[in-house]
Amino acid sequence: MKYIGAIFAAILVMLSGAAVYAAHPSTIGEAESSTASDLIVVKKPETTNSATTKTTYGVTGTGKNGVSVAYYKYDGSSYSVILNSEGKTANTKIGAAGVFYKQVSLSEGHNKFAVRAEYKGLSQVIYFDINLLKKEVLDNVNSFTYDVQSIFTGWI
Amino acid sequence: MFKERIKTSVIVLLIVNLIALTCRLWFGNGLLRDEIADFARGLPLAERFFPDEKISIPREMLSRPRKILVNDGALWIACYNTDVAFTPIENRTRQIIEAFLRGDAADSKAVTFRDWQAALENMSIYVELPIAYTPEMLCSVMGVDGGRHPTEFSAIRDFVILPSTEETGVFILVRDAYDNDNAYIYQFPKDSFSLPAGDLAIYTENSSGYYEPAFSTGVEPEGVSLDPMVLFFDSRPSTAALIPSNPLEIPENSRSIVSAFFNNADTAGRYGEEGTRVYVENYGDAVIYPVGLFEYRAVDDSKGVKIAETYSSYYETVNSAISFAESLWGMVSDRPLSALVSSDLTQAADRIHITMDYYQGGRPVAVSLDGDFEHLSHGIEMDIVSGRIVSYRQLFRNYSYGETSALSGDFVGALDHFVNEFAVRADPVISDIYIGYMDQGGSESLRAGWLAKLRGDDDTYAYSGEEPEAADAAPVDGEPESEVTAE
Repeated sequence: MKYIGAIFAAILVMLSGAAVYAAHPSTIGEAESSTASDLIVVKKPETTNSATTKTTYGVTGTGKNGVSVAYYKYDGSSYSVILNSEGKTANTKIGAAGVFYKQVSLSEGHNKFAVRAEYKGLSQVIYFDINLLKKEVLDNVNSFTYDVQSIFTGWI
Repeated sequence: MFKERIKTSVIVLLIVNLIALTCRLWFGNGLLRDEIADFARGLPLAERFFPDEKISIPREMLSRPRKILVNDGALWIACYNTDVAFTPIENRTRQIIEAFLRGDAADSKAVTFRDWQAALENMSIYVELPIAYTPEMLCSVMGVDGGRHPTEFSAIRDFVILPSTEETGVFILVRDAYDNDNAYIYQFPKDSFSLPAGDLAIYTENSSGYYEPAFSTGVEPEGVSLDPMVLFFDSRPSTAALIPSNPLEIPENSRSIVSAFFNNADTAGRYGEEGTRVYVENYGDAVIYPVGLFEYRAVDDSKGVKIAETYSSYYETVNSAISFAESLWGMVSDRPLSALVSSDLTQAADRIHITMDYYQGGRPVAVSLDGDFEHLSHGIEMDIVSGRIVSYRQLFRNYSYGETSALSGDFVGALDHFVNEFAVRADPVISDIYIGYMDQGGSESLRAGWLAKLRGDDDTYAYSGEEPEAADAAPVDGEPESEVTAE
C-alpha cells in the first residue's frame, strides 16, 4: 500500500512539474533571463527596435515543433501576457510548419513587446520595440508613388 | 337593361382585374407565390421580358475579383465579394483595369517581382481575379471591345494599383500569372483617373480583419513553399453550415438530365450495380450514381453534345459551356446555378477543359469524391472538343443553410496540418489557403474549414480544424487581442 501511495505521489509531482513548465507566467520583468537561445527566432520585426505605419502588426517567427509561445506587452511597469477574448493566455504551440504568427495592435509611439518560448523546462525571452509612426510622419513615409515616378523620370 | 348592367359590371371588373394583374406583373413580385417565384424576385422589368438576359452567377463572377487587398498605409485589409466594402472598391479598380486592357496607359516599363512586392508594401490596392485568363479572354470577360490584348503576358490573374498624387496619375503593375519575373508597370495620364491615397482609408475604415501576404511575414514554413500572396490572418470568422441534398434522388430530375444528352432517356436506361442507373446509346453513355454524380462520355470527339460551332471563339465556347451547365441545373432546381468557373481559361479554343465549383454564402464548395468511378475534384468537370461536350461530370447538389458557428482552428494550425500532409511530396508549393467547404458526397451538414490548393494540382485539400484548447484559441470574429493583458 505504501508503494502504491509513493508511486501515486511521484506521478503527481511529475505532473505538477510538467504543468509548471507548460504554463507561461502572467507577467515577466524587463530583463527576464533565458535558459535557451535557440527555441525560437523572431522574423518580424527584424530588429529589436523598428518602426511601422501599421496599426495592426503581425509578429512572426520560427521555432521547433512543440515549443509553446506566449506574447507579452509592456504596461509601464512589467510585461503582461496577452490574453485572448476568453481571458486566457493567447499562447501558440508551434507545429509542423515551424511557424508562429500573432497579430498585435499598436498605439501611436513606442510599443514594447516580449515573446516567451518554453520547451521541456527551457525558456527563451525576446524583447522588441515597435514604434508606430505618427500620422504626419506616415504621410511622408508613404511615398512609393514618388519613387515610382522617379523611376519613370529615369526612363525618359 | 338589367342584363346590360350586369355585363357592364363584369367587363369593368375584368378590366380592373386585368390592370391589377398587369401592374403586379410589371412592378410587383410577379403572379406566382413568393416561394415559387423566389428566383424571379427583384429582377428588372427588361429581364422578365427577356429571360435570356437574366443574371448568370458563373458568368457574372468571371469578371469579378476573388479578393481585393487594400493597403491604406496603416492597415492591410482583404475584401471578399461578400463584404460591404467590396463593390465600391471593385467599381473603382475595374475602370482602371479596363483602361489597361484598352491600352490607355501612357507609358510602361518592365519591373522585377521585388518591385511588385514593394508596391504591395506601400499604399496600394491588390486585385486578384478568380482564375487566370489569356489577355484576349480577359478583354472579353471584362467587356473591353477592341482592347489591345497585352502581348507581354501569356496569362493574367492579378494587379497592383498605386494611387495617384498631385504630380502623377495612377499606376498599375501587372505580372504574368505563370511567371513572376515577367512583370510590368504602366502609368496612366494624370487626367485619366484620380485615386488619391487618402481614398484608400475610406475602404478600410469599416472593415475588420487584418491580412498579411506571406512574403511580408518573413517566415518560410518547413517542408513546403508558400505562394507570396497567400494571406496570413488571425481571426476565425463565423460561418453557416451547409446542408446538402441530392436532387437526382427524384426520378423525374434524373430523366430530365439524361434527356439533355440522349434522344430517348427512357429506352436507353437500365439499372446497374449498387443502385447506379446506366444509359447507353450509339453515340455515348451515361451513369447516375446514388451519391448524385452524373457522368456522360461520348464515344468519340465528333459525337458529343453540340453546344457551339466549330468556328466559335474561345470566349463563345466557354459562354456556351456555362449556359449548358445552367440549363442542366435549371432542370433540377428553380434557383440559379450558384457556381464559379475554377479552371484557368488559358487553353486552346478547340479543346477545352472547364471546371466549376459550387459557391455558397460567398465561399467556394470544393469537391473531393471517390467511389467506383474516376476521382472527382470539382462540382462540374467537362471537356469540349470543337464545340461538342465529349465528357461531362457533375455532382448534383442543393445546399441549404444550417447553424452558424465559429471556424475551428486558426490559420497557423491549418498551415501545420497541410505541411504534414504535403511533406511526402517533392517541392510542394501551396498556392492558397482559404476558408470554404469540402463536399465528399455525404449527406451530413458541411462545416466551413480550411482549404488549400497546391501548385500544379487540380485537387483541393481540406482541414476541418480541431477544436482548439481554450488557451490556444485565436480571437473569434475579431480584431487581434493585443490590448487585453493580464492583471
